[in-house]
Amino acid sequence: MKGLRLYLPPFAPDTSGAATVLYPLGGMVVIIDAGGCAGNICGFDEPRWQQEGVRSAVFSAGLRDMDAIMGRDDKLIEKVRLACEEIAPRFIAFIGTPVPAVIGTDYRALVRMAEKTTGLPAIAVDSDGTKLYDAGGGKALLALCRTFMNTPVTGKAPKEQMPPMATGSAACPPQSPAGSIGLLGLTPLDFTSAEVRRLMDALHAVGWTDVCRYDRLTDFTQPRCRKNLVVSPLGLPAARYQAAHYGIPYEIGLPEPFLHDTAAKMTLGCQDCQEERLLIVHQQVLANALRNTLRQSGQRGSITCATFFRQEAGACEPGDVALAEEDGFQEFVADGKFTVIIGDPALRRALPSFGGRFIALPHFAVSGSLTDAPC
Amino acid sequence: MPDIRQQGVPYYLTMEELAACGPGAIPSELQTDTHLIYNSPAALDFNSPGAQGFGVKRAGLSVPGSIMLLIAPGCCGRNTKALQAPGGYGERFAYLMLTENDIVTGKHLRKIPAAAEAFVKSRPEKPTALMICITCVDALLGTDMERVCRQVEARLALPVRPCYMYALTRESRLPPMTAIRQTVYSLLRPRKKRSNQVNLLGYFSPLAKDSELYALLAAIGVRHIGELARCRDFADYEELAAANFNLILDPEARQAASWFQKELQIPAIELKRLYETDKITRQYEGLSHVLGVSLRDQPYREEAEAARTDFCARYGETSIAVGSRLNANPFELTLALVRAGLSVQEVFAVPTPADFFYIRRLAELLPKLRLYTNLSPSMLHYEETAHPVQLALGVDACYYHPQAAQVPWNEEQQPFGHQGVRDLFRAMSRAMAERKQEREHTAAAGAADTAKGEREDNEEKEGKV
Repeated sequence: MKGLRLYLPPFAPDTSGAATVLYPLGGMVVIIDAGGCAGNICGFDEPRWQQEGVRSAVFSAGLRDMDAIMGRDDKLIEKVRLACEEIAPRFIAFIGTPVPAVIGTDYRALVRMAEKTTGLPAIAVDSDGTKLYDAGGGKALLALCRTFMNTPVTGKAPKEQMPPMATGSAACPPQSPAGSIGLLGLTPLDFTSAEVRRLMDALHAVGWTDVCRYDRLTDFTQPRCRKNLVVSPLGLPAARYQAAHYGIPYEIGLPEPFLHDTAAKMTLGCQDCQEERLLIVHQQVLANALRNTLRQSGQRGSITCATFFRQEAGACEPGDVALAEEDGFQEFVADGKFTVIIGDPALRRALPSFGGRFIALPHFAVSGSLTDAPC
Repeated sequence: MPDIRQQGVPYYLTMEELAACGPGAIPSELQTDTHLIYNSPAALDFNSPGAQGFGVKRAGLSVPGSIMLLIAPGCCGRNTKALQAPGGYGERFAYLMLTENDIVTGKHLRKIPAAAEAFVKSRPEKPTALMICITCVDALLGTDMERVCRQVEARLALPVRPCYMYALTRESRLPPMTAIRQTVYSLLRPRKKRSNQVNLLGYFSPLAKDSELYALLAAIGVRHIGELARCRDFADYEELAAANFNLILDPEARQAASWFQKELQIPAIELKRLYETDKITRQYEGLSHVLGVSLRDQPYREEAEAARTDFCARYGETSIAVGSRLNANPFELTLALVRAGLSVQEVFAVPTPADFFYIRRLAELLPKLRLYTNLSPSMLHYEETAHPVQLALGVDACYYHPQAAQVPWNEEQQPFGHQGVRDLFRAMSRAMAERKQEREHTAAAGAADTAKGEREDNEEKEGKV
């Protein structure tokens, strides 16, 4: 049944995706909710709050029933104005939740009112809590590009100069030394801080001396990247926007050394057996990169990639699937006769009759956990 | 009155300033619907009670053997994953995740009976009840969930109850946590009363086993004490309807107590959780008077006061911060500490009109005591170094004071009466002793490093010479 989850938890929603992109940028992030959505982000989907102790001006609008019923946008703007008397944000960002979705909040009007009242730039992400983190995070990155990258760097690039959306060949060394590369889609919902360090090391190792993570507002206001690397599908809309409007080319993928250790730890048994059928369930970029790494390390069986999140048709191999429902996932696994599944441990619960090996590859956006322990 | 917002300064009021405002003119910074709410871990209990501790979802599963279907957009159920950890609620939760179309048209209502049936059938044992939890979306759509529950009940031949996780109605006459306290008792049916049974209402987790309340009730002939959290199965739960009277231990259970009175003819008496021992004794005297019995709390009081005296003798000069994410009313607890002669420097809490009874006393005893609110956007600027204390009580105070000795005091087992006072002061003593030990250890390690460095320097110099 569509939407029914008997075993799997809800994955990180679009509200969390938007918040995770905006969290480190020094803006005032206002989640237009009654408190619960903001609490979910702070208490569950934002490891930087709980584990790293990094503070950010993330607020709940503190809506009450009559605010929603009467559509009191003016009251919300007054709250924003008052908060600006106490803190000095660089911009205002509104994140939508189910409440404004139900009452049909006009985000463009909200942005204009906030800009007029505070004199600060404002953006809004029309998330509604029903979609997934990559959708909300993608919209947030795109809104930041549209608002703050207001000076085209090189003009519009001709289409033929744009790179093919290759996977696996990501992060080819720059042609000249001292190049800057931008990482789009690098958030704690996909990468732990240890993985981020490994990613940096891998990029430095192949010659990129300056890596822009789009975690500072100046990364948008003073773009310096010669190229963008999309490390999760969350970064794709912004990469396309920058390519189309600023001529910054992009690639989808992860540098090869990044997954060497991960792949090496996966003792997959008989590498030479062509009967081995592997399924990798993760976000598409990481799943594809792991497939390439496994193949390079000699894995000769079939490897299928599946994802519950955004799937880019151009980065798929035949047989790769986009999953939507829990029962669809169960049927796909049963029909696929896989011998090994690599994915977040939370997925294991939905597969009680799976008789093969399950190898844990934690994905925070799935389970909210980074441990290998079964959920 | 003071509602002064300053750039870069966390907002606070002194107790004398707050007392001067009075319950009818609480500054807007201390109200919950007049400003943006800071979304820090210190404010989690306010923003999302279910993120830690008991929210509507976890509370709804207090009925033994029940399961819960959450009907909501994915974002509302996201943190429920934390409750499904091993040893937690596991397969007692399922989700019907709404689409954008659903939240606008309400089409999801037609899917609920089939989803509920699939959920119930998927469980290895038939559940005792199905809780259907709905959120702000259905509050705004005006969903008649009682009707939907009746439909599902008829289809499944199983009790089905709605649980309203309506954050939007937090300050209404029937807020979510009050409503759920009533819902979890709503499966009870009238049964023959037992004169020697009392129910304890208010908490979703059990009272501390060694609370004197148990012993005092036993001493007056109470043989059965009903507590939702101690019900091992549904039969135990049904026994709650046999109580002679209820004791309300949390004001949010008043609505549930009214339901008991109306539906099951079980009256109630309210007791408060207090940390002033003389007030605790007076409360027991009041209970004795109402019941026409004698409750002797003297030995328990002496034990609690001994723990307090011991702490004050060893750590009487300690500076303390008191938070509100703990098992106490922060103002009452602060007053108890101040009356014991301790130096409370700051309180993190949001005052309600009812708290002014304590606030006025605090204004007399410690007028310059600062009150901060976890909810203010200005708390982004709070720095521990500008307000150091030696001991932090409460999860929020601990968050703001990572360098202090810490007593979160928010354990699930609920402290009550003199036992609470005794255990709190013992926990405070332990935390102070541990912190002292850590400091000594750190200092010794530092001194050893310095000595080693000096020795190496000397050896190097001698070598050069």
